Amino acid sequence: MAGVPHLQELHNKFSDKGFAIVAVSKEDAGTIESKLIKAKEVTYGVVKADIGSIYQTRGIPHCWVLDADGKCIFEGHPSSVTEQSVEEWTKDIAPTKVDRELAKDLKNGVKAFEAGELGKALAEAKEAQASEDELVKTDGAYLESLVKKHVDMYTGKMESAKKSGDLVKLGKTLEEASEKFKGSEQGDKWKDELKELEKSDAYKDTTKAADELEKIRDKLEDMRPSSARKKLEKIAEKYPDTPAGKEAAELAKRYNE
Amino acid sequence: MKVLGSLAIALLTAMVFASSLSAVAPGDQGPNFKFDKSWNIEEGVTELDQYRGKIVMIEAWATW
Repeated sequence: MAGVPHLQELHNKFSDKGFAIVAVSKEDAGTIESKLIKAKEVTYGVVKADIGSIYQTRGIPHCWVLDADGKCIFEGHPSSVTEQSVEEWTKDIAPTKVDRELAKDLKNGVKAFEAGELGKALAEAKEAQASEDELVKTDGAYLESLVKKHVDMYTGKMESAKKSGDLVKLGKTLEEASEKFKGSEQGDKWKDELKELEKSDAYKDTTKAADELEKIRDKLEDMRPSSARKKLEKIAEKYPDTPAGKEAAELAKRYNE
Repeated sequence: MKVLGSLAIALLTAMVFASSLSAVAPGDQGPNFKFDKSWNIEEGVTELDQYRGKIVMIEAWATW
């Protein structure tokens, strides 16, 4: 608990710059809520989960830092995560706030950017670059460069979803990205891609499998093991090539009597 | 003495066990996990994988 102020400070300084803290404890919700959330008034992310079997540690507190692709880039004591290191890690990450004062002409663009209306922000940034005023021009280019980081981030997410064959994730990312970039060429492109994806049989299977698994997931524990296994095996057989189908096959093994 | 002996064995077993576990280290892909409950987390975010695109610091902590 001694590390709380340090984490809170990192959160205050970098949460707008694409840096997030997920503080994990397996203790019961009431304890977490009274001893950390209320007593220390933390505003960084806190979750209840048991990660002991996946993120092994010989001491607490301990932390891992993952990059934009989910790769571990640091492991150690939280106090060794300095502001300088976070600065370095976040330098190419898509920010959600504009970190310096821009020319007045870009007021609407900055507002749109910070509201997550990236299509609109992009249009304003492009318009500003046609200005005769050098300052407006430069600031327009700067705002566009910030928007471009979001394009890169979404493109990266889509690539990784494609690579792992997770079409549900791909669909969700396309939906979110096209919504945020509404009114821009980039947004239209993603929207078309989403429409194409939704038409494909592979996508239909993937979403159906995910839906069916979600519907029974909470009820599995209350079922007789044999019927839980049967239900899971049915999903696995019906949709063998989907992530949810594979997960169902794995889960079914737990219910072997 | 007997107690001490079994304690030593338990300790040794624990040490061997701990060193055989594979911890997530730099260069590894960080495994996903779902949140049983969350505070100060954006609505709709229920698992670690949803942080792709950001730098995320996972901190294991406890109140004790």
